[in-house]
Amino acid sequence: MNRPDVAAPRPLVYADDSESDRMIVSQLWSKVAGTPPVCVEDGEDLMAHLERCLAGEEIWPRLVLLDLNMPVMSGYEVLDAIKCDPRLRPLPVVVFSTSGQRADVERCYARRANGYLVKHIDVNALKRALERTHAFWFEHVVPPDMEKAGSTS
Amino acid sequence: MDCVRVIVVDDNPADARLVAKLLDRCEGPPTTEVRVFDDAVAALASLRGEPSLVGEEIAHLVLLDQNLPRMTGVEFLREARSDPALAALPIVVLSSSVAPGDVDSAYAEGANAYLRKPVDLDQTRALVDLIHGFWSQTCRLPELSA
Repeated sequence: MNRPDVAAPRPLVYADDSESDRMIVSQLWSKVAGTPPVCVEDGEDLMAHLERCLAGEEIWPRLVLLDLNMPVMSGYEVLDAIKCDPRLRPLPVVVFSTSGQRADVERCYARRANGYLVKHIDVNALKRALERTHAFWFEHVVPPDMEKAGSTS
Repeated sequence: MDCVRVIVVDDNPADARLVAKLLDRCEGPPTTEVRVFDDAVAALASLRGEPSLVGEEIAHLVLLDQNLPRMTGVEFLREARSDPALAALPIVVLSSSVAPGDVDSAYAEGANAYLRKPVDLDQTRALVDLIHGFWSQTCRLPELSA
């Protein structure tokens, strides 16, 4: 089994079932961050990816960007799975949804989402949102030690 | 949201005043209304609702120092997260300590993010601009009632 390079920059992991959203966010994020995000297609894929992080087979993400309405396992179920597991709880997860409804926003923060972004249709607004997300989470936030959290039982 | 209400909790009055002043000067929209508390116990009491606040929206964002007398930042997080009325409140730790124990316990207790408190004015200004740009102008914040 190949072990990941622990010194490599930690990526954004982006979970979204919409192929067109994955494509546009990938393109914009590559411009903003200099590296493409790791994309997964639904909640189950994301949890499988995080299991590989726990097993030491993948690099931990710096941030997870999470769509809410996905088949197989929704964003809400993912939030519960991550934030109720002490090994995963410190991992920053920012919700990325077309819904700007007050109830959805509150429901996500109550489930310990670290932030909530509304998907912009306008590309320039989306790019600006991703730039600020990058500046905040990748350049300024002191990240949690996921290796340490992941090794707690 | 036209006006974002931010609570700054810091026992160092100079730090708190500086962050409050810089936040107040950030270009809107939205505008920012800042309240400063030098003590986490007082901030918590205010968030839990003085009688006059019942039915009104509480703060949208808390900037929390870690090393506070009476109640530490981590104790504040634990109290807030176990209170259904405050469980969804975004709380960003702003601390001069980046000791792994402090960072990890803040995330474990439900901090939304952890930032290192800058040491000079230019860095503080840049960080406050970034907090405003990400949290007030980019993020959707919960509108919680007391």
